Amino acid sequence: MRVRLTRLILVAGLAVTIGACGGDGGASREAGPWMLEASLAEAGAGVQFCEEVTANVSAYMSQFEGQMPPSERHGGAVVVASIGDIPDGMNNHVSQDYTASQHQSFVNLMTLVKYDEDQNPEPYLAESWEVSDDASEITFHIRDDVYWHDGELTDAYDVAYTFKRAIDPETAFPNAAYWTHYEQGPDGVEVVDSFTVKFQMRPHADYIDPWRATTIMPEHLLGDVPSAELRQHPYGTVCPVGNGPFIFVEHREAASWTFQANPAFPADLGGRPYLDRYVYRVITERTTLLTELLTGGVDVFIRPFPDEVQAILDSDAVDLLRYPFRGYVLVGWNARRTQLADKRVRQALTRGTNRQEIVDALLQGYGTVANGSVPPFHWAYDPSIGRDAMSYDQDAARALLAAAGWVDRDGDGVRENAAGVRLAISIKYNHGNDMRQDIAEIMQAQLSQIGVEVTPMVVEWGTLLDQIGQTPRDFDGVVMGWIVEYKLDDTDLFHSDNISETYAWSGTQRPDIDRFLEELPLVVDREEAKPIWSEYQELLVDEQPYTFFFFDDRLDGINKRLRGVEMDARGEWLNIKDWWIPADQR
Amino acid sequence: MTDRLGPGRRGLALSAVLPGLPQLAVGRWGVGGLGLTVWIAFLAVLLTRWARFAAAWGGPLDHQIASLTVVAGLLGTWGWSMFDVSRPVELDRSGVSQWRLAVQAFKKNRIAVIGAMVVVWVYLIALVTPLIAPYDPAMQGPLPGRLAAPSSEFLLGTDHVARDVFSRLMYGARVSLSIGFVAVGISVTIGTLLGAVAGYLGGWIDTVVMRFVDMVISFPRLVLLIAIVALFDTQSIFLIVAVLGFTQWPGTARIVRGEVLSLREREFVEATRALGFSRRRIIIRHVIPNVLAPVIIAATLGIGNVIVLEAGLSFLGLGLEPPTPSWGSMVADGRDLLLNAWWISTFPGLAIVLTVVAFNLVGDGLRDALDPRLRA
Amino acid sequence: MRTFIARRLLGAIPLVLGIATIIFFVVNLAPGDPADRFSSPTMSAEAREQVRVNMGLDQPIHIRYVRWLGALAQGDLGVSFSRNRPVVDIIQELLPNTLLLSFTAIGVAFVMGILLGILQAVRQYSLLDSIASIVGLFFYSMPSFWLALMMVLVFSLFASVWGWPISFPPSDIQDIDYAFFSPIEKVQDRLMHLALPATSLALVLAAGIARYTRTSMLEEIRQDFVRTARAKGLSEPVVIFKHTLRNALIPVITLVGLYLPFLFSGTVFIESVFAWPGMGKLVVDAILQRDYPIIMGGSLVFAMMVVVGNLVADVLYAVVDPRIRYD
Repeated sequence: MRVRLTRLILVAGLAVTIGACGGDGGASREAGPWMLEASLAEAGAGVQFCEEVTANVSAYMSQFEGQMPPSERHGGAVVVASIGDIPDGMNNHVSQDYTASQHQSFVNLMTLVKYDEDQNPEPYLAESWEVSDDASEITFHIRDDVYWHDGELTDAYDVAYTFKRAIDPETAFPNAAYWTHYEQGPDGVEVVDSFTVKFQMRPHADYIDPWRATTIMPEHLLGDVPSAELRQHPYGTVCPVGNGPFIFVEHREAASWTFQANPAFPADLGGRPYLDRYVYRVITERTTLLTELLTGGVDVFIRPFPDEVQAILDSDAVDLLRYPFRGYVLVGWNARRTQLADKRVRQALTRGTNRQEIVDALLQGYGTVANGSVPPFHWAYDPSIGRDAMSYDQDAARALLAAAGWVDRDGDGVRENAAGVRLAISIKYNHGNDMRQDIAEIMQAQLSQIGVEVTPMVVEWGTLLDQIGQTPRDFDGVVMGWIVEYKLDDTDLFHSDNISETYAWSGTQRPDIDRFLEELPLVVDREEAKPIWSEYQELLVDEQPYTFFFFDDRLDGINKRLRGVEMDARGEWLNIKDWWIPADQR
Repeated sequence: MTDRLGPGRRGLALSAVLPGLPQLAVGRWGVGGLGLTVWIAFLAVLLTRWARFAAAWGGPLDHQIASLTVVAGLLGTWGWSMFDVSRPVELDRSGVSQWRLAVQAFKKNRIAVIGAMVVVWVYLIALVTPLIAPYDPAMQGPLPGRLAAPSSEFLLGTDHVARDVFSRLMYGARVSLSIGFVAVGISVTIGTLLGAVAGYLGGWIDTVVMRFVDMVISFPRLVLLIAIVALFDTQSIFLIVAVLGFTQWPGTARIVRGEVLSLREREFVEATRALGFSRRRIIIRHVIPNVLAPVIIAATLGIGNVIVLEAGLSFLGLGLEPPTPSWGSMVADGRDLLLNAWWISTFPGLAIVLTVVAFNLVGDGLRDALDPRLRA
Repeated sequence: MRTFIARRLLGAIPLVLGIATIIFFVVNLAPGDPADRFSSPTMSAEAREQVRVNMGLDQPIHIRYVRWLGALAQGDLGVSFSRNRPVVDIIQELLPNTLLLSFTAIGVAFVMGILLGILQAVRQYSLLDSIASIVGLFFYSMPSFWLALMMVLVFSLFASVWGWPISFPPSDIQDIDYAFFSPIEKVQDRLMHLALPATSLALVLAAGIARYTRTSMLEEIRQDFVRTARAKGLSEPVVIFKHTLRNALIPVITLVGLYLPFLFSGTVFIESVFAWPGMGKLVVDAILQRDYPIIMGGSLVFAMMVVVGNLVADVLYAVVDPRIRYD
């Protein structure tokens, strides 16, 4: 008995000692393995920031209480749901996620410009802009009636701040490629006056696209935060402050984001949104999400799979919205691998796969076969490219493989080259995506008929990105999705200069492709550019760094009570400030 | 009613044509039913799948095993039935061992017997699958045929890449059952050894082992499982089986230790000590055989548990790689399609439930049979 | 009694230490660079180096181990990669939801299971007994996520679409208008949202509890004191509920401790299917996203919950059974 007690006390003492030794109580902060950003990891700083911010927002907004604009369209709450959360929240400096950027651009914050249906820029936060004749300078005039939700005025300093952050390497802004033709030195940006800002740049066809994609961030709140600490700053997920049509209200971890209408939104731009509240919910189980849509718990189901669409079509309460989108699915080939180094092999892999059948079956017709990186609705699109050259033909595929030296020498059904290496490759795809899994499995079956052994491998998303994006590029083939920006530019993907960068999955090194990639952005006139784009696309077909699969249409399930919803390639939340619900259905 | 038919020409003749029927006729529906159904079914397989059966002998190993099973099943059933019928009726019950009593108690438990029959049937089907599966489980049909409802062509429909669900269900049985079997084998072996050693030797060994057991049991097993599988980042069947096995042994160890503790003081153990046997010999040859009863129960219940866990892992995306069919991965694959292709998920789900229920019935029956206090 | 609790608490410390150790070694011995476990894939190279230095990865493993324990003792569980918030904050938000779900499920399971078990014991070998056993076994053998999905489809989708009198919300813990509800409406709303997930969890447990209760009751019913009670002329319900049940329940209470790890594991699936923002879903999502700080912190919290739960169960057991000495 006494022995046991003694032992227990010893152990307890040990525990206390370790606890005491492990922490220095704040004196020297080099202690634990977790302390990356000391100033934020201290509970105090983050909480204080958010308390202040929230108080300011409440104070500012209280003056608008009771000011209900007279219109029968105003009112109601809408729920949008999808399987993905909004990582990084409203922090545009660090976010890579599509849903996050949609919420930033259309819900909580504002971009300088927006696009209309024809991809032409129209004013938003920027009232107007001028470009010098030689396209080396652009001056934006910003609206003077846009206020941050805590009462501060949005001005040119915010724009300049946003730009400086984006080009700062320490921020690790995910889309730094946006700004390659903007002058990044100290003279690159000049704040002329409170609402005028000027940028220096090098001539380029789509110089304004970065301003469509980047939201302006509040300099008065984030200006002092060191770049390396931006990612974990509570601004993004705990207390965002925007200047857009909706004010952030609440973020319930792993569950929902709530916003409410901004009464101070400029009348010129539409004024206060019709909806009182907008809630974004995260539901990872697709069956549950579909159930919520069909029972009215959720108004908009973002991106149901084609296989799930039948229930939506059958339902009386819900409509299916369908529109072409600027994303495509591909199988990227790592041309650094022995089996995939010869372009004839890659061509054979494409020709040995019946992509049209896959589109018909998997997409239930909601998509088009792709042979290049240009979406069908884009002005540079040429449907004839690759249609015959890469048509489904297993005999042609076999001939290509044989010509490249891959023959089944030992009769096991799989080809080998002269050195005895087997034509056995893995195709990786990310967990949770049924369609990509199906593609990998279908290719496994179809390519086995031409003597190629394919092993599908599921890899967790982040790990997969690492594997394809960083040396040693541990993959053979990967099923991936790619969303193209309006400023079509495959430089990151296929230019040999970028061969060690993140997006150079295939490792393409072709001087003729390089030349096109360099020259294309400089041609401003679309009529002139189109044939050049076609030539470039032909080269891509020849090189086959990817087996381009399809451009899938976007699908969304929308409750019939929701009116005014417009969605197209610009995004789902495009005109959320104009959505409304009839009074009797709120 | 006598327990057996006396030897007689009618009994023998009946047995030669329809083994199991004579036993059925006297009310021994468990063994009789099993024997008869196996006989008829395997005969049917032999006759309808003769081509495959004949080709199997030169084919891959599992085909050979399947054919062997058919042959063994037919011969075994026939032989057993003939032997059983021709044996004189036994009246002498003296000197019946503990095991015999348990078996008899078990046989009286109807649903346990049904459970046992189902288990045997599932394993037989799994063994014979290569002969009877209508399609190759990995073979994708023409894509327009995907998500087809059950029909005469595809008994249980097709899945999202046009593979036959019925064939995959049967092949999946093999995978799921093997995982269950091997994982439980690992866990029972380790658990018994460690539990026996800890219980018998006592002292600090006992404390250390039991502390470790407490730790592992306290840990939510699923979280540990998925953490390990995710961290090691591979979906090999070996890792999954190993992890499943290594997280299950503490339960067995605890049970065994308890039994050993009570056994330790019994006379026969003292006798072995007096005889000077080494501790290892005592533990392995004398102690362990006597604690086998709870171990068997734990093992039977454990297999069901492992099958469900494997399904759970697949649900989380940590199961086996495609196109390997396992019931768990089939349920996981079909779960987004429940509304428009319910057959993909539902049939494997039912298979899991049915099999696990059967295992649990057998386990419960064994527990009831081996525990004298509970008999009516 | 106090010494008993104190003893058990002290005894739990090495247990928790041990679990933390298991987690540490699993993470560090798994293939791959441990620094990857602590540095987000999107960090710059300098920041990653900083992490290595902070972690003391050049140090031998026992130093790292001590530092890890030290950080834990301070309540520092690190910062999540995917959510970019301190893990402690995230867990603080989500833990109450899991506890709510778990306790409700346990409560329901015990009530259902005990009642059913009593019924079965009293009517042993009857048709009711057999049916209840089979049905119970059926639920006990079902993968919980499958049951959860079926419940969503039947009691939420079909109920709503086919116009049944009541249909339950299939996800989340509350309505979007929750903040505007009166207190009564709030409670009602929570109960409606709890209904399906808690029942799914409870059904699986209830079957096991029913079986155990049945066995235990059967043992007690044969005892002499029961015969005495009947002989005294007491009515059957009094005999069962007042005298037999109390004794029979004693071993059933130990089930609480036994089922706890299982219960918390079960929340993993149930929370995923029902989009219930709790610890189970958090850890699963973290594992899929390789968010190691959450994986480790979450696992530790889970384990501690089990330890505390076991402690509570032991105390309950000691309270209920006068035969147990306090040591």
